[in-house]
Amino acid sequence: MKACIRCKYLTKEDKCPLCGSETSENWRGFLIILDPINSEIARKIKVDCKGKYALSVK
Amino acid sequence: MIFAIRTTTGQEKNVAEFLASRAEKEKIDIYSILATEDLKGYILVEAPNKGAVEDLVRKTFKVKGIVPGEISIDELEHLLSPTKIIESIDKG
Ligand SMILES: [Zn+2]
Repeated sequence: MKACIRCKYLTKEDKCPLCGSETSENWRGFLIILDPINSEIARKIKVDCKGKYALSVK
Repeated sequence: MIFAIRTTTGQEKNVAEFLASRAEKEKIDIYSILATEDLKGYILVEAPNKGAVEDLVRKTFKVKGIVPGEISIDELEHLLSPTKIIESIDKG
């Protein structure tokens, strides 16, 4: 999996399907958001779509 | 509410994926699951209550138990924004 350098969404693609930015193989932290409406963690990192995210991307 | 569960070191991400698909399949109310390199042997699970986390980890050898007590979102600040730590170290 690769992480979007902008929104940190994890994907197999070279371009992020959410925002269209480039993706990188250099990422850390693995967060799965199942319920973005109720998740405090999702609010904290400003994620509003369900899915898998990295915590940091280089 | 955020709870920590214990798992095998090195398996954190795999177990997080396993638990996420289980939550979806069995319709257990779980908000998020977090596995980070900074917390070896643990996964964090966010849910409306402890019962949901207990349902999630029931009957799986992949999880060794739930750590007693809740974790506040403020305690996770440094995990959720790792770049801030690096910035503050650079400044100091
Ligand atoms: Zn993106």
